[in-house]
Amino acid sequence: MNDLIDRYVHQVGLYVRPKERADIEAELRSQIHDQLEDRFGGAPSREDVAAVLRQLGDPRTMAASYSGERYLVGPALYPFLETVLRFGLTLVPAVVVIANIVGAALSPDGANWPGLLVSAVFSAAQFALLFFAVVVIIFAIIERSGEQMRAAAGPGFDPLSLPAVDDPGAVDRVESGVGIAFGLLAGIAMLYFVQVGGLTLRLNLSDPGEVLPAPAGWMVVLMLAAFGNVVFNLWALVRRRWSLVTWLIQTALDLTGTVAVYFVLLMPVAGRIAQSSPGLADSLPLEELPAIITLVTIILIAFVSGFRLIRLWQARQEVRR
Amino acid sequence: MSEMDEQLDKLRLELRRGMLVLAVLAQLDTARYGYSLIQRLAERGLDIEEGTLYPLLRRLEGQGLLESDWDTSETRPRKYYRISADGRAVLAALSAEWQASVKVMRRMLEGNYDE
Repeated sequence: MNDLIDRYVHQVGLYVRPKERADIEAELRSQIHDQLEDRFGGAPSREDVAAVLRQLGDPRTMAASYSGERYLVGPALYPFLETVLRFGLTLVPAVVVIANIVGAALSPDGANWPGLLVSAVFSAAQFALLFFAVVVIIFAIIERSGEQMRAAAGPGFDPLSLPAVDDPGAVDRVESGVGIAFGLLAGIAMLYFVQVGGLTLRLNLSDPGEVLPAPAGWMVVLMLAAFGNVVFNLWALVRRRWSLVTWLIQTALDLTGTVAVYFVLLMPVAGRIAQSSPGLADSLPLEELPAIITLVTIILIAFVSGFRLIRLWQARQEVRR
Repeated sequence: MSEMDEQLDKLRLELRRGMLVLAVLAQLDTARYGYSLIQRLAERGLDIEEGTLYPLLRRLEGQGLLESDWDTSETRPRKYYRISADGRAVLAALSAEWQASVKVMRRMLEGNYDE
């Protein structure tokens, strides 16, 4: 009889918090014996014990009742996690596959296309998994420190301070999701580039292939800008709005990242194209192209972010009045 | 079980959830062990499953509303629960809330709004 009880109690114990395990096991054992005593007297049969245990239910369900509801990422954060993962897991494999193809096309040794396809799929899977893990860990940390973070983010909900429908500081879930996904992708890629000592478009963690030299300082700057972008987007999500200062910092990070991309990505890639495809180099202004792309991006960022900055400034002036 | 029955079961569980805390606190003026509390509640017409009650007792103890002691003087050790001072205060507040809710719901369900 005790054998069945021991087995049941042990199974429950496996799924409860370790520090509570001994107490829960002792309590449950005692309660099972009480019930047996009351229902079947002093000598319950094996079937009687089984009947009582059946009534108690599946050990895992019983253990879950002791734990209450616990989340890795709770309902408040889950929609944001979903958005970031949706964009990230679309973006990451696509970027990795395209980078692999571009890298192979630029390679002076020529491309082995079947091998490249396998390698691209493998790299895409590696990066997608890495991205997924990093995103879930970040959201789990925010979930765990949710109370402190919400306290640091400002006072609780006040209907009078609800943002206007067309509030320029409103956080767009899609925009922030894309920002976080893109920032994480760039940050992880830079970590990888720093580790392999330069730019490689193969993006294979175990075999980086040919590495184009890129300035380490700018790689670190780009990595910091990318992770900074993630942090400020998450902060805006927690605070539920952009302030003039946070948007200004975000814009500065975007501009810094764009300049860093010029040194880390555009220049080395243009140099490689010039080297591997002299014909293309004659028909395209390869020396000027990186600068043109960077300048256009800076103008676009300045225009879009500047417009929002002006609206945030105006909103702030209105509140002060 | 039909979809409607399942839905009804879920709603019934939701309805009972808060009530169970009140019932348990009200019965623990005298120290009782888990199974004796189940019997006590059943005698008074409230059936509660072991898998619901045992974790609930621990949760209420964790919240400081119950106190517990292991009695080792009998043949087998038993954990006895009883209401704490904080639990009494909460019980008084919840009881008042319950009485008021019963009045409101009676008016709602019987349609007698002038009472």
